[in-house]
Amino acid sequence: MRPKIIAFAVLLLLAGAAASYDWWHRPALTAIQAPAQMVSKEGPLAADRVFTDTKGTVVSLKDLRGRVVLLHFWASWCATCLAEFPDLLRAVAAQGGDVVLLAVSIDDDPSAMNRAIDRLVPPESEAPHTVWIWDEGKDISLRGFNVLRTPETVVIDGAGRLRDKIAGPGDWATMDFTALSG
Amino acid sequence: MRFLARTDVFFFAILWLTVLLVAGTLAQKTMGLYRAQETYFSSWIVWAGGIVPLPGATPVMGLIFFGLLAKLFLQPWRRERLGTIIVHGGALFLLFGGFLTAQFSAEGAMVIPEGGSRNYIAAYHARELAVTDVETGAEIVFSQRVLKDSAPLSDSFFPFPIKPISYFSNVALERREESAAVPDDLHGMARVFRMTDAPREREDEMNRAGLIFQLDGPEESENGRYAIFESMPIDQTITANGREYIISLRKKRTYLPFSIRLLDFEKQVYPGTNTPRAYRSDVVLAEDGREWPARIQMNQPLRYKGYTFYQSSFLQGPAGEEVTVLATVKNIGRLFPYIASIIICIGLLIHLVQRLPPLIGKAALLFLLCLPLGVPGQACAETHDGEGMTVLSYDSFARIPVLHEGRIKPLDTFARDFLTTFSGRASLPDMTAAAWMAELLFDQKAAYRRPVFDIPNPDVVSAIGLAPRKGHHYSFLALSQALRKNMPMLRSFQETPRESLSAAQGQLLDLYAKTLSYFEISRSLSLILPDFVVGDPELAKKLGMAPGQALTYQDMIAKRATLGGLITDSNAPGTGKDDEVLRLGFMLQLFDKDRASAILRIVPPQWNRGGEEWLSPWQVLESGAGSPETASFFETLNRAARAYRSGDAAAWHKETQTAFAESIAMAGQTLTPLRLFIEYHYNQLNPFHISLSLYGAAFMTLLVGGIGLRRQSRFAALVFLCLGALVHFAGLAARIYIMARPPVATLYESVLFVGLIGVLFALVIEWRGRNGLGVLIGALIGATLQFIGTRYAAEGDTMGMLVAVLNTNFWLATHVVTITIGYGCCLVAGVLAHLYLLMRLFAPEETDRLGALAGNILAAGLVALLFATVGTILGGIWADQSWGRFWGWDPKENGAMLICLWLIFLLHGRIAGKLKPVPFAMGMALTTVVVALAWFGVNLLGVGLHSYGFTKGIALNLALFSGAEILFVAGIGLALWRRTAGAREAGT
Repeated sequence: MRPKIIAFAVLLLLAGAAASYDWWHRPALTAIQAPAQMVSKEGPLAADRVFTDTKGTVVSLKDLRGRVVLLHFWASWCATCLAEFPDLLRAVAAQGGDVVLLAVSIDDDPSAMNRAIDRLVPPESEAPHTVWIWDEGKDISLRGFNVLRTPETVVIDGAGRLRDKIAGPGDWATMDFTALSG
Repeated sequence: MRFLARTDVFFFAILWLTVLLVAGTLAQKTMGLYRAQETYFSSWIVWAGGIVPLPGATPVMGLIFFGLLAKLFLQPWRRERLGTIIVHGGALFLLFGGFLTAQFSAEGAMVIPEGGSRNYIAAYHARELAVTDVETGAEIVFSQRVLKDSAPLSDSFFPFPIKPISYFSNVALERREESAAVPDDLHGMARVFRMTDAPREREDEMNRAGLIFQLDGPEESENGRYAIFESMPIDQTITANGREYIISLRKKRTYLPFSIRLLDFEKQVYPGTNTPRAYRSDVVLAEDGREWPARIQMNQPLRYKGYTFYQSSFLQGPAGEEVTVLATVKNIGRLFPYIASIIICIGLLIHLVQRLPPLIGKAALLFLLCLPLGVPGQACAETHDGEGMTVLSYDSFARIPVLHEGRIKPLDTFARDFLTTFSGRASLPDMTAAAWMAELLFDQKAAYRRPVFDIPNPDVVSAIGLAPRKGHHYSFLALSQALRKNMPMLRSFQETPRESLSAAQGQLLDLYAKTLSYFEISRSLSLILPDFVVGDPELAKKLGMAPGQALTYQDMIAKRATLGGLITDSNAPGTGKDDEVLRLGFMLQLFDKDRASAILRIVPPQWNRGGEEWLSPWQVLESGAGSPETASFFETLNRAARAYRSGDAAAWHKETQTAFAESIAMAGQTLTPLRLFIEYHYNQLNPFHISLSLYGAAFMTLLVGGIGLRRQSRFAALVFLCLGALVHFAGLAARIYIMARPPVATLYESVLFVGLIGVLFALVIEWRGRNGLGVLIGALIGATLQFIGTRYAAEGDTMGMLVAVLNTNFWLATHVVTITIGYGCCLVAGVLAHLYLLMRLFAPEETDRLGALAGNILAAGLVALLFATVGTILGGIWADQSWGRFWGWDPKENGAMLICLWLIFLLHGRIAGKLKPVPFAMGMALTTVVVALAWFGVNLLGVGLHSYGFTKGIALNLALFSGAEILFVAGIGLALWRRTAGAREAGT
C-alpha cells in the first residue's frame, strides 16, 4: 500500500502547488513601452550634383557642405506650395546661413515660374540663402529623385548625406535644423 | 467498487463517449456550438429522438473517473506497470480539473471602447433583468430563469412590481404601422415594435433576448405593458415616488473588485494585406486608487486576482471608435490540464520505453541521422556575364524581391501564384512563370494575345459569347472584349448577394476580377516602358525628340505642356497628320490611369522610414517616396525593358542582374537574400514532385520484385524510399527556412509533414523487420500523401501568412507538430493493419510473420496514442492561452479527441483481451478513416474556431475513401468470420 500512498501524496502536493501558484501569482503586468522611435540612421551620401539657377549662376552640392540643404520641389500652379512658401522662406532666413534652400520649380513654362517668384519675393525685398532653379526637362525632379508631385523636399545634412524626404507641405515654422548641421 | 473497476465497464464507457462525441460534433452543424455542447457534452441525459433517455457525457466521464480511481487502488502496483499507472493518474487529474472547471469557472467578455472603463464582465449566454436607480447607480438584478415564470418580481428597492408576460430567447422586432391604433396600456418600445419569437441563431451569441412585462406601480400613468430587449438604443425609464429607474434586459454581469480602462487598441496587419498579424490592447488596471498599466495581446493574457483577460476580438463602435473585446475567465481548475499533460506525457514515455526499447532507440537514432542532412547549402550568386547568350535567361529577373500577401518573395513565386490563379497551372506549356511575367510586364502586345485564362466551365464561356477553344484557355484580349460587351450583366451580378448566384455566375464574377488584376499587373511598369514613339519628323522636332525614338511616360511628362499646346492648335481628329498628336495625348491620359496600379510592390521602403511597406513603382511617385536609388532602379528596369523588346539576351541578362542587385541594396536589412535564393531554387526544383516520383518508384520496384521475395528489389526500393524521404525532408527544411516557422500551419503543410512522419516511421519498421514491409508502407503513405499535397498546391500560394492566433511559433512547434506526428503514426498503424488483414486472409499459415505484424500494429498504435494525446492536450493549453478556455468542444478539438478515444478503446480492448487480434486489426485499419475525418472531415462542418483549413471539393473524396475503407474492412472481416465458422463446423 505504501507506493499508493506516496503516489497519492505526490498528486495532492502537485495540486496544492498548482493552487498556490495560481493564488500567489502576481498579475503579469508588462509595462507599456513607448512606441519605437523612428530610427533615422544616416542616409547615403548625396551624389555631387550641379545646379544652374535662374540667373545662370552654378551651384554644386559639394560647395554647400557644412550647411543643411533643403532641395525643395515646387511649381507655380501648386497651391499648396505657394501657401507654405512664406513659412519656408522665413524659416531659412532665420537660420542665418546654416540652411540653404534650393527651390527647384518643375514648371513647364519658366515665365510662369518667374511670375510666381516675383509674387513670393517682391523686387524691393530679398530671400536670403535661397537659390531659384528651373528644372527644365524634369532631369532633377523626375529622373533624379522620382518626384512627380509637389511639394516634396529632400533634406541633405551638413555632411552631405540624404537624411529624409518630406512629401507634402512641411511644418517649417517649428522645424529643428540643429541636429542636421553636423 | 469492484464493479467500477471492471475492464468492460471502462471499455463500453469509452465506446459510448466516442459515439456521443461523433453525434455532438455532427449536431453542431445544425444546432450550433453552444446548444450542441449543452445537449451532448455538459448534460446528464441525452434524449435520443426526443424520447429515449441515454446517458450524457457528464455521467459517462464520471463513470470513467471513478472506474479509473477504483482500478488504480484495487490492482497491485508493479514496477513494469509504472508507465500505465502514471498515465491513468494523469487522466484522473485531467478529468478532475474538467469537473472543477465545469462547476466553478466563470467566463464572459469585457467590452471596452477606447478611453472607456469597465468593472464588470458580461456573460456569453445568461441574461438578466436589471432595475437601476438613476441617481445612486444602485441596481438589483433578476436572473433569466425567473423571467420565464409569470410570478411578479418585487423588492423594497423599487416600488413597482414587475410581472413578466412573455420572454423571448431570440426576439423578432416588427415595427407597428403608423396608422394602426395602439392599445393605451402599451408604453415605451412596445408602442413602436411588436415582438414575436424568432428562430434561435446557430451562434448563441447572436440571439437577442426580449421581454414583455406588466408594471403595477404607484403612478397610474406609468402602469401598463412594456417591451424591452437587449442592447436597446434608448433606456426604458420609469418614474415612481419622485425617483427615476432604468429597467434593462442585458447579458448577465459579474462585477469585479477592480476596473480596467482601455488606453489604446491596435490591430496590426501584414504589409500590403488585410490579414491581421496581431491585436493588442493597452489598458490600465485600477483598484483602490492604485493603477497599473498593462498590455494584453494575442497569446499573452493578463492575469489578476484569479481573473484572466485574453485579447479575443475587437469591434468598431458606432462613432468609429475602436472597441476591444477581452474574453475573461475565472477558473480554479486552470492549471490542472498543464500538470495532467506533463504526467500523461511522462507516463506514456515510460510505458513506451518499458515495452519497446529497441524501437525507441532506433527511431531516435534515425532522427538524429536525418537532421544534419537538412542543413541547407551555402548560397552563391551566379556571376557569368551573359556574353554570347542568345536566349533570354530569367535567373536574375526571377529572383528580384517583391512584397506580396505580407511576405517578401522572389518575383518567381509572385509570378507562379498569379499564373496559377489565372491559368490553373504554375507554368505555361511553352514558358515558365517568370518568362510569362517578363512578357506581361515588358511586352503587353504579345502578352494580351497569349491564351492564359483557364475557363473550364463551358457555361461561362457561352454566357459571355466567347468562341469555345480546345484546352479552354483564352487570351486577355478576347476575354476582356467579351466581358466588356457584358458589363450590364456583370454589374447586376455584383449587386446580387453571392449566395444567390449560380456557380457559373459566381465564376464569371471571379473571372472578371482576375482580368482586372491581370491588367493592373501588366501596367505595373508602364511608367518606364518605352511606348511613346513619334514617326512624323516634324512633330518629333517640335517635341524635341528624334523620329522613331521611343520615350517613356516619365520622358513625356516633361513634354506635356508642349504637347498640350500642339493639341490645342491641332485639327479635328480624322483629318490626317494631327492624328498622331491626338494619339500621344490620348496615350498619356491612358497612362495616367495606371497610377492606381499597386499589386507589384517591388520597391523597398525608402528614406529610412523604418516601415515594412514596399511600394509599386507608381505608388513610389504618388506617395513621394522617390529617391535617387529608386530613380536609378527605374532606369535599370527601363533598359531591361528595351533589351527585352529587342531580344538582346546579353543586355537583358546584365540589366536584370543590376536590377536584382539594386533592389537587394535598397532593401538592406529588411530582407535576407539567402531566403530569396532558397525559395527560388525551391520553386525550380519542386522537391515534393521529386519525392513523389521517388516514392512511386519505390512502390513500383517492390511490386516488380514481389514483397520480400527478392533482396535486390527490396534494397532498390529502400534506396528510392530513403532518397524520397531525404528530398522530402530537404523540401520541408527549405519551407521552414523561407517562412521562418514550423511547417504545419496549413492543411497543405500538415499533409506534407504527416507524409514525412509516416515514411520515417515506416523506415524504423523496416529497420526492425528487414523484410520489405516497412518499405511498402512508407512508399504507400509517402506517395498517397504527396499526391494529395500536389492537389492542394494547385490551389495557389502555399506560403500564405498566418492569421493572428496562429502566428506563434511556440505553439505551432509543439501542439501542431505533435498532433500531426500522431496522425502520421496512426496512418502507419492503419496500413499495417490492412496488411495484417490481407495476410490473415490469404496467407494464414505464416503465423510467425502474422505475430510480428500484430506486435508492430500494437507498437504503432501506442506511439500514435502518445503523440495524439499529448498533442491534443497541448492544443487545449494553447486554446487556454489564447482564448481562455482549455476545451470548447470545437469540431477540430473533438476530432483530435476522437482519435485519442478510438485508440484508447482499441488498445485497452486488445490489452485486456476483449478484442481478438482480427477485430483489433479491423479497428486499427479503420483508424485511417478516423484520422481522415478528424483531419479533413471536421472542416466540412464549417463551424468553430479552427477555420484555417476550410477547403472545397473534398467531401466527395472523403466519402469515397471512408466508404471504400469500411467496405474493405467489413469484407475481410466477413470472409474471415465465415472461414472460422466453417472450421468450427468442420471441427464439430
